[in-house]
Amino acid sequence: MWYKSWLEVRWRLVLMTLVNTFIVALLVDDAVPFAAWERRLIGNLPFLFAMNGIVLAGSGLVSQISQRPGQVMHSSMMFILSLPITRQRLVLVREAIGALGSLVLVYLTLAAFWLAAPALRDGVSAQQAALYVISISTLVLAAYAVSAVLSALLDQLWQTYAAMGVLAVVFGAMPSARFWAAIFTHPAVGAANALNAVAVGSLASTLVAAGLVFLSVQIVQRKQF
Amino acid sequence: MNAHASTYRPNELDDADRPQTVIALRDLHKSHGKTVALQGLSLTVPRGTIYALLGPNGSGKTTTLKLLLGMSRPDRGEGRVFGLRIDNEADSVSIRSRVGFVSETKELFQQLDVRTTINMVRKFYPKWQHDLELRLLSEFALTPTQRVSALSKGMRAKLALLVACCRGAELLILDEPTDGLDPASADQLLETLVGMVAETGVTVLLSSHQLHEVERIADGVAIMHHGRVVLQGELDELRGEVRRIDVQFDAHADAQSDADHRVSATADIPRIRVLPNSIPDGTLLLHHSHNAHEESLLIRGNAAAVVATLTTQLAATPHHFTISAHPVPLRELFLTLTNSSF
Repeated sequence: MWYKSWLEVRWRLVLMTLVNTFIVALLVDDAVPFAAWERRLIGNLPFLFAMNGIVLAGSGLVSQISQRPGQVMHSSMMFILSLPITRQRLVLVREAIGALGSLVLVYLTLAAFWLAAPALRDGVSAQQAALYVISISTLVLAAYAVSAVLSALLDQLWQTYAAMGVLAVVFGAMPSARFWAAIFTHPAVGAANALNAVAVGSLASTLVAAGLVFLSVQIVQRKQF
Repeated sequence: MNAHASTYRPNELDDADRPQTVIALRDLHKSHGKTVALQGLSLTVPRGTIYALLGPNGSGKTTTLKLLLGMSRPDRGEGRVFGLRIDNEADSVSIRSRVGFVSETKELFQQLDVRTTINMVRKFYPKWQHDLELRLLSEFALTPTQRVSALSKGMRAKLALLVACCRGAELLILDEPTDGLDPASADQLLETLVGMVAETGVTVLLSSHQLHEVERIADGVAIMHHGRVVLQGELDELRGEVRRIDVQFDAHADAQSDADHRVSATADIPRIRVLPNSIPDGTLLLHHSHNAHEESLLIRGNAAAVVATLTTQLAATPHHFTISAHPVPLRELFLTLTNSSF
């Protein structure tokens, strides 16, 4: 099942890798001051990473296909559902592979930024970097889980856009939801404050992700085909 | 048609506990929104037989197969496969571990090649039959390195059948297995199936539109219409028991008789008064009036007794008539029971 899930995820991963590579190439510029990087780390890049998670989770059992460009849609739903596995295992393995792929992609992209942008290396401390990675990881998992629930519920390829819409609405309505912003506040505010914000925010994101994954399993288990 | 009697043999769920019965469904109902897919489906499939589900499009065949595999759950009624409940998830996993399935669309993983497909499926089945795998690979001329997406529909059907057959399954559920195959490939596939049943005693439930194929290989059939089984039984049994009885009133002779006796009989030709429970040792499946002078009955049971009853009834009237009983080929039976013609 792990291999099957990898086959379903791999073209989405390739697609997102290309997008991230393009973004890295676009943003890396020696002349950009750290202040600009700060704004990116707080504002734009988390949305890019959230989108990575959303796209990688974007298919349910009916629409479960490889996102290979130009390929005719071939669902393998009946074949998969006829195998002696529980739907819980089916969903969890698929979501585990997708989530893992999302995180690896995010880490590689961050590493690319880190290596290619001296201003970033100079401006971010090791502690800030660690807190940021933790924050973004939980954000990506939460975004992934939102998309996974919509995939289980709607089971259409277009639900990727719906998941992006959900996330845009959440962060638009609640600017404080960007808890990672505290990492880059003025040192006078204190590292302890940043630590608290990241701890609470990451815990909340993780709980949301876990709850949504549980919900997606329940939805698929109750689904009739 | 002026009568349409639904008939099936009452199934006891306890049958499923007996080794002779693999599938026992009783009074299953299933709707998809406002569309009624099954309305009181009952079906019994004996072990070691090839059983065919026949029915027009939309009669509920694929829904039935999905229920058997736990892809969908019945709204009402009970069903068991190997004595296990089809509406219980744990039971359903156990059922699927003993079942090989080929869907109508012959779905497989497009991204894999033939070898990887086989390797992926075999991991789920400890009783995988490697010898049979090699034999079928050779017989079906499947190239292990070929990608599934590059296979023709016929070759994909063969691969789907291979991975279904080699599981060491006790039950094969095949939805239109020969659909899309050329005649030679279809023959080959059917021979493989018959050979497997003979060798391993596997039970086969297949849904098909190919009546000639069904007649060739099936031991039993269930004809479905509007979400229920309207006729079920062993093919040989049906061939022996189902008869079409044609009654023709001779209007010309009656008119001659009227002239001789100065009465008007043709104005008052009696309808055949036969109700389902009035046929000795049998069941009325259909009663159709073609016109004022021709009636047909489709009965299952003692045709001679029915003919005798009708003859006695009609002999008491002044009418001239002929009664004849004919065997009903499967094709005619199917078309008749599914309202296509009589």
